[in-house]
Amino acid sequence: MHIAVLIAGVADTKRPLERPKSGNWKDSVGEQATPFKLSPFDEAALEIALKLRDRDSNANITVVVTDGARDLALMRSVASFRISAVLGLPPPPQHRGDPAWLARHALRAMEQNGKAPDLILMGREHGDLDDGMAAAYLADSWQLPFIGLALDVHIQEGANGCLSFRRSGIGSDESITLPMPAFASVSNDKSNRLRHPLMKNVMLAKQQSFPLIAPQADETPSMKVTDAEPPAASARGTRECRILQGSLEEQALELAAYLKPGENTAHP
Amino acid sequence: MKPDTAPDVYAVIHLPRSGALDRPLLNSALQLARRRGGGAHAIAVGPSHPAITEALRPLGFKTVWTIQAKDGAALQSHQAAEAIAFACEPGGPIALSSNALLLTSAEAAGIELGGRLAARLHAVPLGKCLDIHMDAENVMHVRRAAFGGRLNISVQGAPGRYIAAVRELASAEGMQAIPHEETDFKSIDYQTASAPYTITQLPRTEEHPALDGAGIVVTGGRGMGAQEGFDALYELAGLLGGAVGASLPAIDAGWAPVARQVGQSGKYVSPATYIAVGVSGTAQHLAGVDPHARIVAINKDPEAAIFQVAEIGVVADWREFLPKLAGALKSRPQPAEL
Repeated sequence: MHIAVLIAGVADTKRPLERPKSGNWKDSVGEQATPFKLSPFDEAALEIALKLRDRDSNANITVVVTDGARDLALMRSVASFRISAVLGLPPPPQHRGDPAWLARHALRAMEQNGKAPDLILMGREHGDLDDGMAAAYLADSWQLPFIGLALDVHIQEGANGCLSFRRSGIGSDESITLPMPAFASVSNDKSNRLRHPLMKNVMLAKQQSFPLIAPQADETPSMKVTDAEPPAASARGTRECRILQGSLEEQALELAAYLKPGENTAHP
Repeated sequence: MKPDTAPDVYAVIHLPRSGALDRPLLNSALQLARRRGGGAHAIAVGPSHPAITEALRPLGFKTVWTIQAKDGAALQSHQAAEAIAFACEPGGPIALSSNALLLTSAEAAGIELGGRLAARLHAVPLGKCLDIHMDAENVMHVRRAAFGGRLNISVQGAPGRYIAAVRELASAEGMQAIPHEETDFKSIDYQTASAPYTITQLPRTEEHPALDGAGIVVTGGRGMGAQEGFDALYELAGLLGGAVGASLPAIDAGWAPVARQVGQSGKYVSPATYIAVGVSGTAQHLAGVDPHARIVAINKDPEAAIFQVAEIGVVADWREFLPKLAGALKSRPQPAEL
């Protein structure tokens, strides 16, 4: 079984976002000053792949890193889990966060002996410029059966070539069966928290080199970043916090109307 | 090259996943279309329901297409995308222009459908947008969060089709009622080529709804003070159809299971509304909350950092306030269901 994990580093969330040398935040897209780290979603995708390999000694894992592929520390952190192949596919700056570019190049990068992987996993968000659409876009571009926000994956006993994916729904948990090859985006959960690598594998990763695949940037990007700024502190960048006034009963009524608008008040 | 006509805007509604009309989504489609002189349309995909027609009739859409499976079955996300793409094929019943803008809900199901449709309709997936503008030359300008909410970026689009997931666009807030317009209702029957995925419902290890995909999350922090506080949060979440979360100190205190932890070392949640009760609002906690979520803060400390990021604040002890809020919610009328 060949499992591929598509990873995009994110700016280290444990430190402030560093302003680019140019002083213009919009250049963060092309020349990120903050070191890259694995996102919790990519960590979860990687852990699921490792668990599948634990259960199937014939399984092998390919990891393709897009954003942050030139960050040696990030690449080594991935390789320290004894991954069969760790490859870099750094998008040109103008195509960072562009799922169409990924769709054109990432599947080929994940192939093994000219064959597509049996299972592709990626975090529910791909890097700092995606907020969730990229995975489904790639799945339909590649015409692969797809499950979003999976928490765990198992090879089904007695069902040749099928995988079962667990995820949480609003009303209940779900198990979804898909034939291989399949594709899933992964959300983080206590059950898929990334393990610590063995020290000997950390040391081996330090001696490893990582091939970079660099397709020519011959396509016109569909979007261009024209500005970027940190959001204002209040209301996550949109407005001042409105502190409710009056008695607690009056505040409760006002908040209830805000949280659960009746049909009349919600009419567009 | 710039588009020479104002784009039509399409609100895409996936039934029955959308339990109630997504009014911010519909509102955004109407406002965006009217601002630039394009048409506003709605595409509802899933089992036919008479209430859809009645609920959509007064809103002022130019056209409402309802797409349903011939056998009346519910459509899973991949089937819904297939059905819409079929209807939008050249020569199909929905003549989708080359510069159309499609809007989906910003919840997990809408985002997945948006990504699928973008691939099938050769559209640009914009992700979750804070605001969208078309300038006088009909060039698309979008503002959205990036870098985990640490930057707001503005992007400009080349001519083409776009798909955005929206809650309420900043520029569409506070709008007035839309003048009534006659809506053309069209029904499309479709037999999907793709089979549904086999889904087995699993017993949940606890009785309360899970965080994943919740439209409203009610989170308790250190300020809850005791396990009993979480009982009140579960009641509040039940009244709102939401799920309960917890900050790391509340998890460490054993007031909630670890699966409910929200934050950098816990889950990432993307509800429309995030109610933080007795939560101080550390950066580590907020890293687990989608930057598009509207935060309501209830905290007895008026200096708590959570008020810096909240849209609505209540300065009160939860013990006094939550029972009053529960009573007020129980007295509210039910929203329209499809």
